[in-house]
Amino acid sequence: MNELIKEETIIGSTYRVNELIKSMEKRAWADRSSEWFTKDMFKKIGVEHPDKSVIVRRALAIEEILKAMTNKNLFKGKNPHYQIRNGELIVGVIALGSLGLGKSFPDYLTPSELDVTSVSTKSEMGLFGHDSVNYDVMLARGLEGIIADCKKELKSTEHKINHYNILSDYCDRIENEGAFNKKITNLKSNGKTTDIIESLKGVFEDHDESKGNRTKAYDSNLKGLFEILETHIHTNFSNISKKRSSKQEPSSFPYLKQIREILKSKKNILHNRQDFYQSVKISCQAVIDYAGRFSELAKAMSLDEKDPIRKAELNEISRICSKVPAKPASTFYEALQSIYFFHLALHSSMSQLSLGRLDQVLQPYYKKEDHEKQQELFECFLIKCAERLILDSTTFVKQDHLDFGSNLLTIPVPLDQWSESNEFLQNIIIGGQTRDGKNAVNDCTYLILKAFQKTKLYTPTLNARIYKEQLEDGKYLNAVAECLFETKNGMPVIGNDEVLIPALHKFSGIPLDEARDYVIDGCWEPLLNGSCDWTFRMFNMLTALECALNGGATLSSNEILLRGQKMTYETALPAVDKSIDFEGLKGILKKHIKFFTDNSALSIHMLYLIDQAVNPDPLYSALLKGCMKTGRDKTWGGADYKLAGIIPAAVPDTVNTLSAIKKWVYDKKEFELADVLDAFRMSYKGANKVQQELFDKIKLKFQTDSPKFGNNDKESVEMMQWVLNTFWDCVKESHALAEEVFLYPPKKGDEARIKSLRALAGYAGKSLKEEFGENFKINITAGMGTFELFDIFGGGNAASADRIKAGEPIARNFAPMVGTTSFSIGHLLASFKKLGLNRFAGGAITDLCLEERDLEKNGPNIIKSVIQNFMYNDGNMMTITISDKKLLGLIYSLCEKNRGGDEAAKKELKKYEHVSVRVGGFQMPFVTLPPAMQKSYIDRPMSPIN
Amino acid sequence: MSKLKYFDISWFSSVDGPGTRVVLYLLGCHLRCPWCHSPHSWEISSPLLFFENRCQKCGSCVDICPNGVHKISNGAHLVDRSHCIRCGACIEICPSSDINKWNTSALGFVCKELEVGELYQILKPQLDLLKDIGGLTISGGDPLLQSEALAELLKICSMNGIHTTVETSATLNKKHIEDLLPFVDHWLIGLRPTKTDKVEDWKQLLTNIELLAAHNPNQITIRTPIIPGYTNTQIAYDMIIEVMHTNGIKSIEILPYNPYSENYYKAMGLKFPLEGTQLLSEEELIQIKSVFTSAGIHTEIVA
Ligand code: SF4
Ligand code: SF4
Repeated sequence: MNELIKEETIIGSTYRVNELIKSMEKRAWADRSSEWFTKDMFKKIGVEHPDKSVIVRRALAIEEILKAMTNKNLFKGKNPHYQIRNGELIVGVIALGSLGLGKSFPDYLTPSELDVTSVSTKSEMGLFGHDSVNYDVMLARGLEGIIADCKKELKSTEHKINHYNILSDYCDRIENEGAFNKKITNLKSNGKTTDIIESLKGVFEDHDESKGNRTKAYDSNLKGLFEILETHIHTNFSNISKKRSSKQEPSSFPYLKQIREILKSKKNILHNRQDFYQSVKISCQAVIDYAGRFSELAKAMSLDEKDPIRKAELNEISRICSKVPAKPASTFYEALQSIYFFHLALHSSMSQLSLGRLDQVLQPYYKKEDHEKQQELFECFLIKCAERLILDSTTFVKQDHLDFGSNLLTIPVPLDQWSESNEFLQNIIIGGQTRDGKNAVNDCTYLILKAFQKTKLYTPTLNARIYKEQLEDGKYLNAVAECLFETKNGMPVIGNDEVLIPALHKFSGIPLDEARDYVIDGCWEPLLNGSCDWTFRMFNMLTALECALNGGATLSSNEILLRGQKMTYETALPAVDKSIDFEGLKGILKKHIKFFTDNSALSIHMLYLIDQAVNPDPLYSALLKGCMKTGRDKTWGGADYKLAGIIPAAVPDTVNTLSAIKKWVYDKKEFELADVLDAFRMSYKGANKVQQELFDKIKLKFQTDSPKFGNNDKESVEMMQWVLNTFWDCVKESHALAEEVFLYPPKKGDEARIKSLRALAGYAGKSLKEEFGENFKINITAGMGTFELFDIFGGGNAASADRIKAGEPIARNFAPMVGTTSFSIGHLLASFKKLGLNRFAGGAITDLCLEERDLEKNGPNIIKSVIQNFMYNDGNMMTITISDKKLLGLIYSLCEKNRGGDEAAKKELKKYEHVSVRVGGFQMPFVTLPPAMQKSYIDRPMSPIN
Repeated sequence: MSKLKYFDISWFSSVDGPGTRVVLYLLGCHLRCPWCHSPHSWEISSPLLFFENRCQKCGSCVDICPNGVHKISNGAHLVDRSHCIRCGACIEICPSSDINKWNTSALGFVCKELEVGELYQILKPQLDLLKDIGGLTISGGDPLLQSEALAELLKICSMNGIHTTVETSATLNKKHIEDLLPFVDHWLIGLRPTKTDKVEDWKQLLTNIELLAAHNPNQITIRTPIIPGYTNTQIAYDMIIEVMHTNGIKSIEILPYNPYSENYYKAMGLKFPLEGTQLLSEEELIQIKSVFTSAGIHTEIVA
């Protein structure tokens, strides 16, 4: 069953792969709602263990779901998660769930914690991806290696806690000794700190009952105490001695009180450490045990298996599952299975994380002589990652398991759940440079590209990094272009190393080797490889423009809002105050952009602490660089780097609208700004004939005779430059402000001001650096895009230069508004050259769509040229999808029939399940999209370029 | 610098010369073949185009036109171009028209005129993109009519390593061809003998082909539109084959009749000369193709 079959007849490299894909697709078309876990299948971890810390409860919840996934008695009939399908080589089953549909997971918050989430609006069901795992360590050491580290750390932590307990005892004892107090009070108030310490040492020694008979342990304990004392007195002496001048009872002598406080907080940290290592241990062990249960299953199945070849395969599966992920992997097969188990555990337990640079991770295990076998294995692996697909969108509603914690305080609009129903936030990254700047392309790079090309799956998302040298390297670029051409589904996404590495390094403060090792995750966010924790904030740039035009309010036709919905500060009205020229308007716009970047940067810092109370992630932290070393979870300052993106949507819309206003209101003075704003408010629908004629004129000029981003004309390029520069400056200023308020301990004399600023934000905690140490910092990156939210984002905006009705979708990502450009792809790409996109490490992605018929001849070469030109013009990130508008129209009409319950149409639809389109954040099967969005792909030109 | 008059640019063509190309369509043609699919290219300053399907019948043009060119009666919009002085007022006022985009407007003039250097700047971004896999094709109209200015443009292209192709009927004085020769990498020569051909045209054509073939026969592709009732005759095929053999030209492209051009005739208020002409069947095309292939000629059908 293994032999290679003629390429055109099957999907995938082998018959086995073909069969597995077919079986997966068959399941995907069924109603899968009965495969979901329901909460009553799980133990109530929060109720059963109210005294345990959140992170330990979270670990227990991970253990609980992994147990449930292999529990034979939970489901009517077979547990869909506990089976090995015919032909499978990689085993384990991820529990259903996606960004749009959510997850089913054991409750691990206590009832009172749950109550409080009503105000924090962060819930335990907050499903967050956006981090990327580096599997190197796990493959090299095995989870047992990590558990061993935990045990060692637990032991030494316990030791330290004992040590601090002894010190506390000393403090108690000394406090009760009259002589100690006497001696202390004899110290002069202006005595030098060293004198005080020396005296104190004397005091301790005098009053120790075991004097003359001291053990080594005693010495080291005492030394520890003095060390604490010393650093503390040095930093606080002046304050304390000032206070001491007021009459003070010797018994409440501040040193001892402070020493006790220090000891207490040190012990708290140690208890947190204990909980951390404990939960890492529990969750890693849970994955090992889960794998063990698959080993048993495979063993049992092999006993019943008649086919000797399959029997041998099952035996091999059983052997591998009993070895990995517990032990280091020694073969390609073991490495893949090990990664899959861990990936599965993460994705089944609310952490939808990426797979990382798999070509780099797998290469050490790759053997040239076993190429074909490894190719097949990798394709089997991809299918396992993809098998959560649900293709019949009529079943989405009853599989909606999301709760209020879903948008994680990061975006100002609700999620477009429907279009995210098959988004799993899993990415694979290939190519680019190594940490030392060398060419990273290897055998596995090609193996992975080929696997995507053969299987044509739309998840995981494949991302190819490219740098200068690889532009000359025909082989890699050809393979990338061919994959794009063959799959038509936008795989791989292109990341330009020449732009993204400087963006991370030079402009976002990440060390060069880390920057060179970047990965792409979530939808398309550039992140660090297994060494950073990421979050983001979005805002709508078009709303900022509306606010600038309308004194801090949106342009709304809703009369109960009077001027419009108030969003930001009240500023002067340029439509009323004629002394405001276009430069003046730009100045006002900057204020409103800054409002949103302030809001983003401040909330990123202020809310950093919230996650540890609700979404700690011990399983991911086991592999995240920094956490194991510091004994801190990723939500508690553990990761080496904290990255946060600020990402405005509707930047192209803003540029076009601003350009049109500049040209027709300020330069040519053909229209009054007030009329333009009315036209926007009223969706260009005049109240009477005269007004309608005026609005028609405005619409015509704005739509057809104004500069448009993407045409590479001087005006639109300059306007884009101004908007990007302004946004960039605002991000820098807001970042500095957020650091001043939340990151740094207040400067001397500035404490009251900072305290009151924090109070203003509703924050009463310590500075983040005080909490997490001197090295703590959140690196803020900036980017531009919409992800899949272009429909929803436009919902709150009035009409604009390109949108003739209020509420219409905004431009997708960092691409021109569809239908507004009159030149070519070359013009769009050339306009990037002048924008300095190498500042934007948050990503600025352009989605291109080429018509299939244009690529009939010469397809891969055309794609290659587009990529080369994109790189040459310093583009940031890009996707290229190939589509056929007529075909999409046909599929849409079949979907409509299916939605009406037509079984024949449903059957027919299955033919087209491979047709996919780019939905801003990811590639989606066209058949699964919401009707309105489907229609938008048919009604408008396919590409931003016509 | 000289100026060029053109009426359209296509940014992404894979049927007009080697690889994937930008095509610049120049204005002006002296032949006016009845099967021409761009009659709006004939005059160097084209008449007012009116596409009825894009008109909302709002009447603005009727009111503004100083010469009463537009009339709307009984729901029909009539255009009497004989009085039009090309002032452009109607295009300006029309809510369905954009003076810069005649091909999406109800009313429009097709003629655009730019200095060669400016025109190159407009073409450049996409030429950069297609540099390694195609280049620039000059079509028309007949580009030879503007050969002097065109030579300047093509010279800039060759200096920038852009592959150039010129599509022409090659029926004008060979001086025009000599203007261009140093800067052209490939020629697409329209060759479609009909009964009504003028003898001088045919002679000129032969002279020009000889001139080009002497330069390099591999740089020539013959293009023949197959128009039922005009060019689909065995005599014509034989003549073409003979010319090709004599000059060592090895490849031909046959272009089946394209009925969509009717639209443009209508927009110009002209009668469509090929009204009612049947499309060629797949079999007929394959049969015609075999006529050439069996004569040892590399043949492609370009749809
Ligand atoms: S102005 Fe335009 S839309 Fe109105 S009638 Fe004339 S051509 Fe038609
Ligand atoms: S171009 Fe001038 S003269 Fe000609 S139809 Fe239009 S308005 Fe009348």
